[in-house]
Amino acid sequence: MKTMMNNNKKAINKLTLSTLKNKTKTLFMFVSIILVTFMIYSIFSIGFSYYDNYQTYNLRSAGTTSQIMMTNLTKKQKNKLNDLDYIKNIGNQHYYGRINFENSYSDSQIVLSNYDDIEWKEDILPTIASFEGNYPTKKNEIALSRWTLNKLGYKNKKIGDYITLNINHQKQRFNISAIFTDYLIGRDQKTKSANVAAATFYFKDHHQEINQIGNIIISNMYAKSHSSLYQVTMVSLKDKHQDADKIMSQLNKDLNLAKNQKLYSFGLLANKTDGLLSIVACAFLAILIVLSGYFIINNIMQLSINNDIYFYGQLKTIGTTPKQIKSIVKKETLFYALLAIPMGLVFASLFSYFLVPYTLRRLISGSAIENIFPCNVSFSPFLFLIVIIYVLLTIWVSSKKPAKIASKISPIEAIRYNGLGNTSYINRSFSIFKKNRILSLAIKNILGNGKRNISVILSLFIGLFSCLTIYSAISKPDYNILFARQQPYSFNIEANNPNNEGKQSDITNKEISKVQSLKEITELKIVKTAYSTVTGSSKFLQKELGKKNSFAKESNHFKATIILLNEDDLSHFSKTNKTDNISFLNGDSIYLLDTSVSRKYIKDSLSIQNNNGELIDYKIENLFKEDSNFLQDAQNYLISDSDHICIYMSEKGLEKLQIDPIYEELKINTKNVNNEKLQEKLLSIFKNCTIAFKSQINTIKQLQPIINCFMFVGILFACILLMLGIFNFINIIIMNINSRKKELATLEAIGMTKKQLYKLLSLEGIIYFVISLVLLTIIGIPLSKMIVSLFQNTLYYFKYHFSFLLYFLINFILFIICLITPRIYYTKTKKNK
Amino acid sequence: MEIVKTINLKKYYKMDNYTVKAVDNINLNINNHEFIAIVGSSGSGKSTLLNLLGGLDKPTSGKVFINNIDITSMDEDELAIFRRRNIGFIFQNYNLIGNLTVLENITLPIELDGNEIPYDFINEILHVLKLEDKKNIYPNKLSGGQQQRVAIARALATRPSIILADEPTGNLDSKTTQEVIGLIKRTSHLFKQTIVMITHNEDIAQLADRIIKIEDGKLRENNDE
Repeated sequence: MKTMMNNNKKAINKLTLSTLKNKTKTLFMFVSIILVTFMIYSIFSIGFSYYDNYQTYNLRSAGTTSQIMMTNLTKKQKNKLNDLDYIKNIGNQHYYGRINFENSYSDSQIVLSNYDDIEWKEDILPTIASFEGNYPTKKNEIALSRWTLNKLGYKNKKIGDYITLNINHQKQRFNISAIFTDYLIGRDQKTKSANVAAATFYFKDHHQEINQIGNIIISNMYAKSHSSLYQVTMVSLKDKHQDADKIMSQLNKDLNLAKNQKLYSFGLLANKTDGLLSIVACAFLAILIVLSGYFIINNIMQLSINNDIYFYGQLKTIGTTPKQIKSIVKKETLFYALLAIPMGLVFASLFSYFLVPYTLRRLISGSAIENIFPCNVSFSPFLFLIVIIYVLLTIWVSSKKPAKIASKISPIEAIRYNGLGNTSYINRSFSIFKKNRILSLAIKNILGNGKRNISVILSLFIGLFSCLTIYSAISKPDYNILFARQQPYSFNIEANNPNNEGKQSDITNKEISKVQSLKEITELKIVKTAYSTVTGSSKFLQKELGKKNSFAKESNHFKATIILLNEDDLSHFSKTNKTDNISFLNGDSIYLLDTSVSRKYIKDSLSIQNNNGELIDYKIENLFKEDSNFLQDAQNYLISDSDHICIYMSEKGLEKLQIDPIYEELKINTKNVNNEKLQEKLLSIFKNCTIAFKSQINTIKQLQPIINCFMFVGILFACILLMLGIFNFINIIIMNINSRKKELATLEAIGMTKKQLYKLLSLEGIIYFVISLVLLTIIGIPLSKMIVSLFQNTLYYFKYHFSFLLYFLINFILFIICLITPRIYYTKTKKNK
Repeated sequence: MEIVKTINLKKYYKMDNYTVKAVDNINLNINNHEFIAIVGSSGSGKSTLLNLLGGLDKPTSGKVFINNIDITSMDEDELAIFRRRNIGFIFQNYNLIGNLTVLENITLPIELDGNEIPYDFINEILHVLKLEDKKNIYPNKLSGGQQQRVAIARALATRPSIILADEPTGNLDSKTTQEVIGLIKRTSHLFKQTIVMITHNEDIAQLADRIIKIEDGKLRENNDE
């Protein structure tokens, strides 16, 4: 009704402000909201930063922002591409030759690349960093990567300096117009970047395996006066989220590609969810924090309502409506939120500025991606918005019930209110404590306010549980399990052959005899390989080989790497395959991988070319499963490079081919895994060899910092959750004592001594502790075990390790806090009675 | 025989720019088994005096003797023990412990002393105060008058020599007031106790053996006999 309308917003605001005068409540609300905001922001900051950095890492690894690469396109086809409506832009990249330079490894080259405008600005520039200077324009201007400068021995050269390069055995003088950092070298120390796609394809077409490529960008003017040796067209699609096969098939159809025109896709639907997992994990952690935050804020508000019950009753008597009272309570929490959330965001931003890069750096330290993965902290308005929404939602939900309670208080109820509460469900089941009245009173005080105390106990439990779970899950990785599956040998020394068809290896008898003479070595396994070509003995098998191994095809045969296995090796495989070894050991049969041919071709014959060019037939005995867990360590049995078929043969089998095997790899075992001295000796033996050295010691050194980082961050957050729980407990003790001042005074009046009062309050605190301890022991420990077991597939070498020390430590700390907090606060209030 | 004696009792509160003399040099004697009513306007110092007599507050200066024992020289714990054994309190707001039943509230002072509960005596109190059927009920289920009766029973449970009552009928209706005052008088006579009661009610004051008026912290005695 119009006559009932009024404008009392001012009065409501005034009343709201008056409720803020409770210093204790204000302090607790502020600290709670700041803590919750801080934690949620930090978690999301790490998650988002990781995601952003992961995207940058992907971009840098790929070396291009485009999704399709095509070779040898004609002008007509390029024009056709321009007309296709699903194409966003097209860039062209050219290879113009390589530098001849001294002290170069034969599998490292420095190439000259040229990009057109779109290719440079859209595809390449976003994948490099620290670009200083200008893109080369004059004929004698070049831009070099820092890696290239270093490789050429020009580490100290700057922009504007001149350098001399030997191109096609002609010395030419160039001016450095720009220097940049690129990320050409991948995790396996080989170049896979599309920055030098044209050069890579050139080498591939010319059967040259170049492992590491350095890039020099030449100007268009230089390019015009020279012939391009290879050209690739890079295409960006309007919609990146497409099926790769579908789009490639569409392009094939639209451009009518010839046999010599290759088409590759990358970045389509790939790694779509990578990095997103980190955000999902963060959201889960944030939910835990939100729960803790909800408990504490809800508790503070509920206790505040209880304390102010007279106030709300009085408001009702003078005519305040329930809606207005709800508004007062909600405005009160909003006021706290408006002040505390920004403060929390400021603290969190400052903290994240240092914590996030530190965490990310520790996470990737020592890993192969260390130089490619950026460790930047992401600041984004979107992140702030998410955090603000999360926290506001928590506060809003937490204040709803207290607001409702306050609005429902009747004036009479408020006047009569004497804090007695409804304890009708507390019955004489506590008669066992009859003799100890103080204990009985303490128990009744805690259990009589069940709803309120449940949230405190739950928040304590969440904190204790988090600490215990995180520590138990990742404190003690069992490297033996990891090594058994992935790296069973203490040391692996692999020859880094310049190309697969070479008959050379840096590992010779000289090195092997030196290794054999080392006393610390308990086992030495030598993996020998040979190279040849194979054909199928039947046209069906030949067709099958073509279908599954097109990468290895060379006119009518297929390139093959032959890996020698002895009886011992075979028994290892035979555990899963149970085949007849005799034929194999006699050299009559071979094994292939199940990715090379299908099972129906078992017992068919494969022809392998011997040293004299003759074809020798071998029966396909069986297939090894490439992806079986048992063969997870398949790299130890050499799944060879991607453009060869893998053939497993005995020594006798190789003798038939009259090919001398080369030493591909040494696998060494030693008694003491952490034998640094032995590692030094081995490195010294092979110091002049081009090898890839892998050791269990180094693996531990790489993994341990990452694990430590996870532990650090995990325990930090668990401790903060525990802190929230303790904070909630302290709050409820303070509010309890405040609201029971009359009762405590009465007890004093009727003759309870100070000692007895302290005993009562301490017992109340201890009861919280006991319930939390019981929950942790009965529910928390089995639950944490269960959660850890859920991740066993991924984190298989992390076994649940229950730490008694941690269990006792955190419970001891909690016990002390629960024991002394009521006493300390009561002593403080007594001074002000 | 004097059971309560005060000598030059003072309680001053220092505020920012002035001093509040809540109790100002009171010399009071109360005899055994007397029923004393303390009357005075609001803020006259009645409750302060009662608190000083019961050892709930420390005087600024002066002495309080209960049964010839100087309670002003006792420490907190000694006072608490002394109170539970010698003084029974009845408050205007009853001040019962919500998580304890009626019986548990009544026997609490005895249990705090670590003594065996004299159930015969307790049952007698319950009978006199008509609380027999309310023994196992919690205070929030009782009416105001019933709660006050429980408070009286608690005050009597340890057989104290003095009952200090601060406006015990302040929150009760007239009929219940009459009932409660009657009970207080009856039980004090039965158990031979001295009563000191603060009241605003002139009618109740008239029931006392002696009326003591307080104005601005000073005593104005009025014997209506």
